[in-house]
Amino acid sequence: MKNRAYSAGLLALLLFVGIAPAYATQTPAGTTISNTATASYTDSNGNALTATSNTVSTVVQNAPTLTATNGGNQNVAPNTNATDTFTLTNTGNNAGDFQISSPTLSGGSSSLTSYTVTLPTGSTYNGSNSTTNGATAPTTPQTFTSLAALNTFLGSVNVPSQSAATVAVNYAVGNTAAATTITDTLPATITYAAAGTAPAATSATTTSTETDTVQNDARLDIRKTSSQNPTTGNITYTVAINNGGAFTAHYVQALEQNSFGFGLATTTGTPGGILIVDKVPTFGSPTAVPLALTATPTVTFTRGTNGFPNDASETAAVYCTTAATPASGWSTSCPTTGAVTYVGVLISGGSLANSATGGDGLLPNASGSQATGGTSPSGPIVTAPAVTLSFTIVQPTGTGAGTAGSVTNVADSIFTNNNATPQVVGPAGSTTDGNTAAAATALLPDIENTTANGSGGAPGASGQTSNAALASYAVLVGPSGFPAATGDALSSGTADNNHDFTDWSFTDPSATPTTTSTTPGATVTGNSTSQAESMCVPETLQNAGNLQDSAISLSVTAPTSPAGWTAQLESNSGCTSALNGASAGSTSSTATAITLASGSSMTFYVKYTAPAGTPAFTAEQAVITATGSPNGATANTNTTYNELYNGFIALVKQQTVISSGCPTGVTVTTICPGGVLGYSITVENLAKGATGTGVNEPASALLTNSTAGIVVVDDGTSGTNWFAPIGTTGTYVTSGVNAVPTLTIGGTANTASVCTYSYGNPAAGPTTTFTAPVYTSPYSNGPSKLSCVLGGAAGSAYQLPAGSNTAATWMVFSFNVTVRAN
Amino acid sequence: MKISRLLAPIICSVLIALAGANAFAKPTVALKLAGVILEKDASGKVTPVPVDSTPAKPGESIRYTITASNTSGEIAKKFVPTGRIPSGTQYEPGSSTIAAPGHIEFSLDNGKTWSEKPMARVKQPDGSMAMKPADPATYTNIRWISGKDLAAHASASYTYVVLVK
Repeated sequence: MKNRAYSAGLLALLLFVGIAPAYATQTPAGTTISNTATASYTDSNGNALTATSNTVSTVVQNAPTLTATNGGNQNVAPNTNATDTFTLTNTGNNAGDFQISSPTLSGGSSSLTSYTVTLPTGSTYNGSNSTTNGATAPTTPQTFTSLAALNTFLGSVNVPSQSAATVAVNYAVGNTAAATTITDTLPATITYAAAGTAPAATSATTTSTETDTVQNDARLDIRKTSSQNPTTGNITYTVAINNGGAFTAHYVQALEQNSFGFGLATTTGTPGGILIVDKVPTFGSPTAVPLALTATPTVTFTRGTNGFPNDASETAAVYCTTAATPASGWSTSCPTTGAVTYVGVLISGGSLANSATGGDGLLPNASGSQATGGTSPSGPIVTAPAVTLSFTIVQPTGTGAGTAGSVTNVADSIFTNNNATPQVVGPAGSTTDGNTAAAATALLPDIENTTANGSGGAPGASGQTSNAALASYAVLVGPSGFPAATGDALSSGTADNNHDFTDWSFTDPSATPTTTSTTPGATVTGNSTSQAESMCVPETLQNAGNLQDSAISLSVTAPTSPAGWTAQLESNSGCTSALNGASAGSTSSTATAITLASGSSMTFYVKYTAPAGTPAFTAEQAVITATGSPNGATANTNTTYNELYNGFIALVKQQTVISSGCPTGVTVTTICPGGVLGYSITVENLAKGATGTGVNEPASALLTNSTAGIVVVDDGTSGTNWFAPIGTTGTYVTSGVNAVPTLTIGGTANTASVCTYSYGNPAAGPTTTFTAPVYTSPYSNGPSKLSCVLGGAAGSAYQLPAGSNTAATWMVFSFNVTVRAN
Repeated sequence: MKISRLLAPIICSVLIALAGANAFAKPTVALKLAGVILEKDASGKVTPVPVDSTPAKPGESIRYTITASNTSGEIAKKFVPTGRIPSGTQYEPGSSTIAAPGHIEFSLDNGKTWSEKPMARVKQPDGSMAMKPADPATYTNIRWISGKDLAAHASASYTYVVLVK
């Protein structure tokens, strides 16, 4: 274009100063050039005399010449229709008819479609090809689809000397790769008919060649970057948009449809717009939800810069939608409630019309981006964006939030290219823009440009940004299955997850726990183990941080009393495999380099060995500490406790005289025949209970009796018990249990106990039927032995909770026997 | 008859003398014009071809030669030959010369006025008109002012070249 303008200017200048260009005027063919010389002189007298020469003549011949020029090399887009316009100028001295000989069009997938001829004013038909000689030829464009038809027409018209006709070569560029050259060659001649004595003549062939270069069609290069606030963790995305192609990116007409919500159909007369869509990152499980915007997104652009048209009525505006897809619901409202699913920039408006050669949209700004960028993140690099979108979201929280790449984001877009059949171009490819909702299908979100546009990457798509929440390490250790349990192991009055605990009981089979206390209470004494006893206590370790931690360590410290306790971290329920190289059983054990993914847990075990002499009904306390990666200078530890018991159900049996049976006035110290003795067995659970404010110590971590229930067996025939024989009398001390035994739980009567009874000595039975004693001689007695499942049948009996060591919680099983009166 | 025989030569001599006196008073100059087309071949070699042997083509040059011959015994005083620049041609500047102190003049109006450097009114870029040296292509005539006479029985040649437009 510059060359053309220069040429036109030069021509104008030449004409202006009166210097005719070389082809300005020629002597017409057939013209006779005659010349005669004269002379003047005088004689000696001063008389004027003249002389005249002979005449010399010559006839000017036909001198057909022409020039062929073109509009200059141009850039063409793939799949478009292009036109190379050649100008044939009759620079000779006669009117003549042009002919085109063997034109060629080559390069890429180009193919000729037609020729269009425009004759200059003054052109006439020359009588050939059934035309009327001298008739005025048309100056309107004439299009021909074949070279033969073109030449037939050209051969029928004479173009005046010094006049020019144009021949436009129309061709389809086809799907030709960028940087391909298409060479268009047009050889032409001009022929003059005989003029008087001047014979007909044909010029030499003059050829003009135009070389077009295929360049990328409109191409939105989108560069997405992110930054993170090191304090809040908020993530700010910046989307830089540039038309890195060589041609204008046009509007998508379908966006004016009301279903999108932009209101274009009613607010502007400009069809559609260009839409850049950015799906708001989501996070969470099982349903990922959008992360909340911290503020309304912003868009920046400068008219007349970097391809944004210098058109006051074209604009770029931020829109948001809360819809599930970006095909509807767009509004300028962008709430920060976490409801926004897509953020978009709509480029619309303008007064330059949505033409294929310019106008509204985004103008090419090839130097503003590097389609072959593709460094990390992948996709093009935009250095001079026409439009920039920026928005900030809160960082994700929860399991895995800190894992690299937990939040990813891609920006996509749709626009219309310059294809012969305009195409809506989006990250999923191209579709025909029929101004229908089909454009919505091109709005497939989150299609990443992984290879950069120069390598066939998704058009109009950015590379993917990858972010995560600020790292937050947190390790928890606690009762099996409940690493986050809270408790109050040290009885401070306040529970937290550093003082949760697990009650655990063991027994020396050779020295079962036996109560030595005579009164119930919070502390019950008993015997001690006679030998070392081992146990395998399960625990759960959890990574409650937001990213994987590969540097977790565990340590356990065995109880210190009595001396001789050992502990070792184990990996299996049999406590036969050391955990992560944990040291062998000693007073402490440590395992290191444990790796846990965010949110995941593992069960480990601690093998304790209690020394001989460990007292019954006493908590022996071990502490387990988990240490994870620190959060900066802040340590990341958590502890749990093991309360280890040599038995935790204690039975304290007491006897009372319900009635002495002694006659009035008789002073007795014990009881008389007929008196009634009462026995009460207080059943306590001495394991540490879930006490303290905020405790949520799980039931599984607390010791209770099993669902089989606490079975109290009281055999009056054993030894010198209450149904022992009296000498050789054949009678017994008592008449046995005189009534159905009773049970209270926390002082409240419970009748659900299931008892069986035996009679006689030795006891016979048992039977589920209680038979009250009949005082007949000599053996009609009540039960001599009873066995009761306290608080219900086996399998559903009352389970005595840990910490049941007060009258408000413990169970009291009672029965009475009557001292024999005969 | 004798008288006649005697007077005849005398009368003839007188007549001849009288006639000779009249011829010497009016010099006679014969002009001959010749034209050749200067054909150039591809190598640039120029071959002159008489105009009557070949037609002219636009862009070709024609060299005209005026040969003046004083066929009388009288001096042709103030001899000034004039050539035309035929229609359809234009003068090729510098194609004609004359020995000093003579000079060559050109006319823009078919010989009405003459000048060594004809001037023409030319429109300036600002719209005003100014006198500028005329384009040689607009010359219509050429003449040679030698300031000398053409001696009796002498000859002189004058050449110039025009370009077929």
